[in-house]
Amino acid sequence: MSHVDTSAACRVTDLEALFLTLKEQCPELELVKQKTYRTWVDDHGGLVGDYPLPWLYQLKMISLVIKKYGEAKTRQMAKDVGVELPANLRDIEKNPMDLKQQRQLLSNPDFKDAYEHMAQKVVGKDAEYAIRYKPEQGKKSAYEIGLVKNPLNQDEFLMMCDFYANGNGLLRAKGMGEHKSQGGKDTWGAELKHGYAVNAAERKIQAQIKAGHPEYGSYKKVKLNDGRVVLEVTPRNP
Amino acid sequence: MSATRKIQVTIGNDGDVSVEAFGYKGGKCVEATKPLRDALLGPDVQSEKKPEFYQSDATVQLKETE
Repeated sequence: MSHVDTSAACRVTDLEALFLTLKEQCPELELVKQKTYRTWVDDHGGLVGDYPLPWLYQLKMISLVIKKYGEAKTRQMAKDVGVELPANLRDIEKNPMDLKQQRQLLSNPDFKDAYEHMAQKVVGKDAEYAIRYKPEQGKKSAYEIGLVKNPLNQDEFLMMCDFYANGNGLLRAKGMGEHKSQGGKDTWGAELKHGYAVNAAERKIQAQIKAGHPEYGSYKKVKLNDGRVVLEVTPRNP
Repeated sequence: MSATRKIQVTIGNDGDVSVEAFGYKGGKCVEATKPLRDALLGPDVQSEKKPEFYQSDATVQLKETE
């Protein structure tokens, strides 16, 4: 099985905020600069194909075929196997292919080759940073979270993780948040994402206050009983 | 301008974020929340604008959710 995944709530634009979050709530983990992030592929040599690729890899896979055949022919090749590629390929971010569509697409040998290239050469090897267990934790088989540049927005990273078996234990680390599957949707790392979002928001507000933005005079932070955190910003001259 | 302008960021338990502006006129709420939207929601996020957004003299609420 191999479930490399990203989700809507795991964009990272502030590495300092992420570093701070790990320091505050994930004592077993560290953020390191490295190109690779461990997944099922490291141990088994390839993806099983029982999950669709995350949208950014779908986009890169299609781009590989476009590079070889041009866009018009690539679209026709997809159409011939029953897959209509979106008019604007950027829309794959919002509406990625599901597993059925991906399987249809891979019935074309060129798309299949591109998929295999992604699985062998790209997934798990395209990160800028990674979150992993500290070496002294002795959990070498645990997977890692890769921070991969968003191909559509170079200012942000996407957190990528293979959540199979809770990322081989990674997602059971203190302060991380285990994998959950509900209503056909998989989520993971809720605690880390929550902590990161709070820190990133607070740091952005503080930066605006420091920079003298008129609508950012002061702020207060409140933790609600249900766990949500509210940051309320009032202007310099209300 | 309304008496109480404020920007509110709510972070859910799973890290989902919403950015809301209260008490702003017209498109000023978009301007005021831009730094937070760009940092937390990304540039292509869908905005949910209430009808008042299009009325320049009205109080406006803008809510954006990832």
